[in-house]
Amino acid sequence: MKILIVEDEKNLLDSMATYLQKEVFVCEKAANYFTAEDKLAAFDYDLVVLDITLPDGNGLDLLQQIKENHSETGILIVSARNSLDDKLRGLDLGADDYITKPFHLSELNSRIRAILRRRKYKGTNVLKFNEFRILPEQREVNIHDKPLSLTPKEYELLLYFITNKNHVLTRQSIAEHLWGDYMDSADHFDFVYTHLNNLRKKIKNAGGKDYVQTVYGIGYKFIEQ
Amino acid sequence: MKLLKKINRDYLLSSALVLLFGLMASYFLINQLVFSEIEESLNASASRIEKQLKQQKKIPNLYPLIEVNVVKNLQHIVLKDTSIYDPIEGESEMFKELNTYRNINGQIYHITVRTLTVEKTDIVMSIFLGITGIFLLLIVALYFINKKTASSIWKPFNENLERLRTFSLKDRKKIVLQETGITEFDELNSRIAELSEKVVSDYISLKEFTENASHEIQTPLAVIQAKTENLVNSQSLTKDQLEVLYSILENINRLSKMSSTLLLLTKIESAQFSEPEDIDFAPLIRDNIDAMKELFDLRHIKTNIAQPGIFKVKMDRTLATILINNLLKNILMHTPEKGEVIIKIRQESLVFANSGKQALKDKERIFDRFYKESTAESSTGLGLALVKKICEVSNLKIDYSYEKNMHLFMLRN
Repeated sequence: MKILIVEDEKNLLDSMATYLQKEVFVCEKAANYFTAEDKLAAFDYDLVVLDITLPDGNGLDLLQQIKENHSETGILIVSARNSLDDKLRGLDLGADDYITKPFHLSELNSRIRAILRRRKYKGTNVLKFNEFRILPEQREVNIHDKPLSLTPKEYELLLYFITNKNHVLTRQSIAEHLWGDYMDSADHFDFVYTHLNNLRKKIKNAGGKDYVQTVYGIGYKFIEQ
Repeated sequence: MKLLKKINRDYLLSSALVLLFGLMASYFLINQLVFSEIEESLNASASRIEKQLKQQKKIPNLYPLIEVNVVKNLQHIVLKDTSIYDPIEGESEMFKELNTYRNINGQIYHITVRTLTVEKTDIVMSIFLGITGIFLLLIVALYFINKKTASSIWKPFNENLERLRTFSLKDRKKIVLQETGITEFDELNSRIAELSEKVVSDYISLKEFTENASHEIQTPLAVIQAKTENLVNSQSLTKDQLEVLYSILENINRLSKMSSTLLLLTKIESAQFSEPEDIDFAPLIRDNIDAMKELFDLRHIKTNIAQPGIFKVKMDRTLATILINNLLKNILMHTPEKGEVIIKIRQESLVFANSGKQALKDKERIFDRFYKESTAESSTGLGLALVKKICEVSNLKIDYSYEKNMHLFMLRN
């Protein structure tokens, strides 16, 4: 999987690349409009992570170019602005998704995965992890080929874990992933803990292994054993 | 007091004083003039009588105007006022009386001539009436003059006043005032125009600054967050170090929320959300409660929506959504576990009630920015400020009260 990250803030660019390279991504970096344009002309990417505020050009123009010349490429917009205008304009022009700074790298990864699943496999793909088989289009999970009944939140949680396996997921990032905007005040720990416990129980009852490891004081980690 | 009224009042007051002074002056002047004239004419009459007597002519006795008697001794001339009953008129009249004694052809005559005089009170009265008449005329004239000037002089002034009244920073337009043709007003107008221009440009640059600052803050925050998260994933960290990193992450989150909420407040203030439509709050509330159902359930908080009526408001849909969302988030944060939330939708009001152990200490300040009564660390202190701001721009009233162990937030049209 080859992705291009277009971001003028070098520090952020490197951090994104570091995280995403651990996932089986090949990451190319472009720190400005000019480089990005060059790279887009020379190579094909599965996905472009695009900061729309660039010093030497408008990211929305790049977006249009990508749409015209690489219609297969997925686009995830990154912006410091969370204004509705920007969001709609980006999505109108054909971006697949939109993420607002600052973001959790695990959230970025999970959005990228979701776009790739939709675009690359047109929903036919199956996510396999040891005894788990996940059909994202149908939102179904099988353990040892037996269906596992999960609530929507439990499903999201499991998918988030598997997508970001071997990474520490903070309680905060999980809470935000599950509840988005509604979750800026309440105590993260309780909510996440309750859902995670239910999920663990269901997996255990279905004969699955518990891959979730508690990282004390901070969150959880889904370990591939 | 209106300027004209004040000017007129001062004007009339001083006119009255001047007129009073004039009244006294005229009285003395007229009195003096009349007196000397009378004296002169009495003297002339006496002389004429003397002349007649010298020519041995008979003088008719015209009481009370002329009396001629023969007396023994010469006496001093006496001029005096006297009151004599006039049988023809049937009343006492004031007379000026001149008594002269003349030696004519060896005989001493006492000649008394009198003339009717106007009484002092009559003089005063007539002057007073005259002046009062002038005064009244002045008032009437002023009234009509003012009426006329008010419509010509004050019309542009009032129009400009109206423009000032409707001036709003949100339009980002400076005030353009009508020329009045009056130096003082035009001077004032040009100062106001300059001032408004300055205010508008300051306002715009402040808005831009706030917006830019809020945006610019997000990128460094994203860098810190990304780096910290990568650090969290490195292997060799102790539990204490991880806790420190988590605290950093939480505070990045708080800072980011604060800055985006401030930005939202700025945007609402500058009317960037102003597409009013009829909003029925019931479905909006239900959607929000549904989305947050789990969060309430996890804390064993019962939610209950009662809908005896339909609460409709003409406002921007985005703002309505943010309003409800923030109120509910605030309620979720401050309702104790196993508490209760009751939302009552009536036609005239919308009430959010949630259980709470005690009333808020400073209910005047709960809508202030950064005011916090709870110790909830994750609170930005901006949620209710946002709610209040939205109410303000949407012509909604919001009140807080505490009744029967419940916090009540009431929205009214």
